[in-house]
Amino acid sequence: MRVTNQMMTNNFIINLNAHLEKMNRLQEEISSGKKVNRPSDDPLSASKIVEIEHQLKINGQYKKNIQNGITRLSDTETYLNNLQNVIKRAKDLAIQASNGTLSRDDMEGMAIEVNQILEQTYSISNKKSFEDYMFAGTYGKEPFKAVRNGDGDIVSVQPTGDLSGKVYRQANSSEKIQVNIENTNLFTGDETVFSDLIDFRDALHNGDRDKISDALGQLNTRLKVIVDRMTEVGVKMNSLDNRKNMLDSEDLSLNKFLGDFQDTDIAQAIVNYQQEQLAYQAALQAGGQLLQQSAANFFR
Amino acid sequence: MGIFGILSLARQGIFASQFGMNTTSNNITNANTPGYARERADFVPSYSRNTAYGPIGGGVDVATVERLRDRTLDFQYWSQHSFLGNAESKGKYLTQIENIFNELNGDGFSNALDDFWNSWMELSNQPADMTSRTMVIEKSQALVNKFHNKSSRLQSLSGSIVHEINLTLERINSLTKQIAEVNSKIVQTAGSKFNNITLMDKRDQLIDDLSSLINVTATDGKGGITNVSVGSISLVDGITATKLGLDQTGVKMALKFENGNDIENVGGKIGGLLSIKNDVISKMQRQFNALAKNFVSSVNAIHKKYYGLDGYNGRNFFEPTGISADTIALNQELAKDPKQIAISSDGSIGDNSGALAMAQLKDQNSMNAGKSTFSEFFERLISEIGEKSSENSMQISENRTLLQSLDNQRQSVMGVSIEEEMVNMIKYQHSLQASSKVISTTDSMIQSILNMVG
Repeated sequence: MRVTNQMMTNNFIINLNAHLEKMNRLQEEISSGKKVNRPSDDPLSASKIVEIEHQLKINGQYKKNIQNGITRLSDTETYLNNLQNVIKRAKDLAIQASNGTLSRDDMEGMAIEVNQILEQTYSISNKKSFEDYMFAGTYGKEPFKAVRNGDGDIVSVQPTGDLSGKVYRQANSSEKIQVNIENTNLFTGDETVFSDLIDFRDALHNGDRDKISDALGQLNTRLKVIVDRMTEVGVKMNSLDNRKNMLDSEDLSLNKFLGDFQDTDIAQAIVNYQQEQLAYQAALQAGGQLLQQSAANFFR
Repeated sequence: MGIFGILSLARQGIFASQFGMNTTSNNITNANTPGYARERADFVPSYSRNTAYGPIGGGVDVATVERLRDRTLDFQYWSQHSFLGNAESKGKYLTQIENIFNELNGDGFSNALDDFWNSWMELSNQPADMTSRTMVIEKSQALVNKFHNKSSRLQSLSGSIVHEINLTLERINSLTKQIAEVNSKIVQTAGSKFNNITLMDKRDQLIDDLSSLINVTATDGKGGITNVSVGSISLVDGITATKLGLDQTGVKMALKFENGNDIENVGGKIGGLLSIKNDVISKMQRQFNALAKNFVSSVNAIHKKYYGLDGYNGRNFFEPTGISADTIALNQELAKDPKQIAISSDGSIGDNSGALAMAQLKDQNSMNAGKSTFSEFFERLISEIGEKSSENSMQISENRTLLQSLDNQRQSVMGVSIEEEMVNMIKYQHSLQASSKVISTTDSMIQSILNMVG
């Protein structure tokens, strides 16, 4: 083949460009740490990366939801614990009172303490976790209202709305987990902590021993309900924890996949870069020598 | 045959050497001129005379100056050139579309969409909280902005393509006009011996340029002219050029002839631009608009079912009418008053079921006739562009290699080799020196004869 000067320079330039292009690409991979910088670099990986990042982001929110639910339930647990303590105290008082050794004065004194327990219980029933009334279901406003007599004593505690709504947190794409507890037989219904304490207090006021021993039975029942509810809270927290662990391990493998699709193998890339650099230098050197050669140098 | 005849022969030798030197010099001068085909002076012996002693040489004639080109390679080069032009113009715009929808830098559309869903879940954790509500408005507005931004960038890209289509068309028309003009000059000078090889080079250089813009077929006609056509229809017929126009009346933009007929499959740069405009960008815009439309109606359908903090239901979250990617907008009343965000199924303010239902939309197959989610649909949209772009890059490099090897073959025939010209130079130098020597020797011969007389 007849070789002309333009051919040689053209080929030289094209080959140099090819080296530079590869070096540029490798440099981008090394400096960004990513081997896919735009979809066309590797369309399949690019779409996987976008999909995984979407999943990770949504999972992050699921974990926030779960954390929120766990905090709410653990607040609930704390206040149920408080409630359990005060009701236990009331039960102890009821046991003393039903022994039959107390004077009317003692009973009046005891009635005052039971009244304080009632006030505490009332206060617990209106507690919030974040800005949310824990025992209000989905009602969203202060759930209980006390009716008081002329002396300011509570005569009954009434729900202010429908408190039976269930509150859910989205734990993953398919599961909603309930994060509030059943109010019936605790704060709402025919028999509640309020009615138990009010009955007990009034029985002490009246020195009615039959009613006092009725109250003891009621308080025992209530304590059982509280323990049941606390178990319910524990079960729910557990299942939220499980979901969180599942998400954590899912994220772990998603991150691993993401790395596989996205991250540059730096060592490999640097080796490739050096090889390319070597080839580039060789091309430059060869070109520099070859292009300078001309018959003109030898003819006079 | 007299002694003076020898002088006349030597004079022809000097003249021929000068002529050859002239050609060599011209070749060296144009060694780097694009489109220049090297020239060669072809010498032939002048007719000889018969004498009583036999024939005597009549000197040398310059028969012709040839330009050295391989026509077959030219034709191949021109048809291959349009493929590269086509792929390169597509590549330029595919890269730009990719940049508009680059989801890999963590600040893309799908990211904004995820933020939107997450803001609803965050609201479900605190249904009455005003900060969470404001966050829903903010994230929704950010998503709306992304819709607008992507859509307007696509729009302006489409605008620059149309602009480039017009420029390219102008260039095509100007090139065909010039080719016809050069053809006509070639016809005019057809009788003379040498003049038209420069014109032919010029014409072929014009066809080189034209062939990357549009897929042309060239054929040589009589008298040194070359005709150019697209498909079966002639663009340059001898000394007349046909002007091309743009047909913007249909759904798709197309090239048309002066007589109004559209041309299909024009290829080249202009074909690439038309296909990006007609097939890629328009399709993206259509699909992006469909996404906006379905998204708005799905979100609104859920939102209407639920009650806001103010106790009303039946409100839209987005403006419900005339939806496209560049008009999508929040319900302005609601945007100003986040209490109107409706997530309660019965009006009680602690109920979050609407927010949960809204976030569930992300996993529902609302697009593609119930086959993909919003995210999947969008991902598909951009991965299609990625695939197109990567396939196109491969085509570019394939076509470049092919064209390069064709061009090398062409250059091998038509290119100037400095080495070769140097050798020719020495050849002519020596032949001129020899002819001079003949003259001086003849001169001394004549001197000797004259001295004899004296």
